[in-house]
Amino acid sequence: MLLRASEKILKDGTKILIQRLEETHHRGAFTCSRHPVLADFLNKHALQNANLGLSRTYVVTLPESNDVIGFCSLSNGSISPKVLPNEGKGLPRYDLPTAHIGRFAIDDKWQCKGLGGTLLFFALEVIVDASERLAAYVIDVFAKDQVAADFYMHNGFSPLRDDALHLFLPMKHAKIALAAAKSVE
Amino acid sequence: MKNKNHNNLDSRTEQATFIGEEHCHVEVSARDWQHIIQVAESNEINPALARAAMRYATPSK
Repeated sequence: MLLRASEKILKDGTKILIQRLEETHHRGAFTCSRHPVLADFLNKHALQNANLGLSRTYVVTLPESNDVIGFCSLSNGSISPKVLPNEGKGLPRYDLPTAHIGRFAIDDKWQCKGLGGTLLFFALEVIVDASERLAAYVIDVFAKDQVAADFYMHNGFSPLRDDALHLFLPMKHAKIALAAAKSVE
Repeated sequence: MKNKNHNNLDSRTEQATFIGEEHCHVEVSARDWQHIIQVAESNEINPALARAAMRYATPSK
């Protein structure tokens, strides 16, 4: 069964619920002062994109509330080389399928509480789960700024050498790391 | 002349183009192409990933 919702506990003991965005979720109070365009996406486009099959958005709420305090949107994608390298025999000559983290944001009031890491690893669980049915070679994300890139690096993503704000994580590694973490639950 | 359904389809298509997900397909440099494949084919997991998975993937209910 596909993973659609999960209850998690933050390091301070706060219980949160992560689930697919629905019309009943309150999105108007969500604020992201560093990148208001992310709140704009949540308010205006996230549901529409889900209905059109462009992305799936997962939102964080407290269990007793419908107010969104964090969200991420996921979709499929691909990576290809601008020019195939001269050396590197055996490298693939075609696009590589990716699982793409399109948007990711935590409400201003909920920064620095471990919510971002918890949401990111929920997203990785969803992606790894889905990859059993629809293959993806790597998970990739474009960080909005260096602070965001540092967050992804802190959580195991690697930056590209020619674009420090484009980061990736091999699917194989995500599977192994999540399986190892589950085995100690 | 377009019927109502065609007009609706045009409208939805315009919206879809406008709000589509960014960066779904990307081209990378030749050395990044090699870098991605080298890292992905390696069995060496980034220690930051292993630590973060233990930190965040575990406390669920």
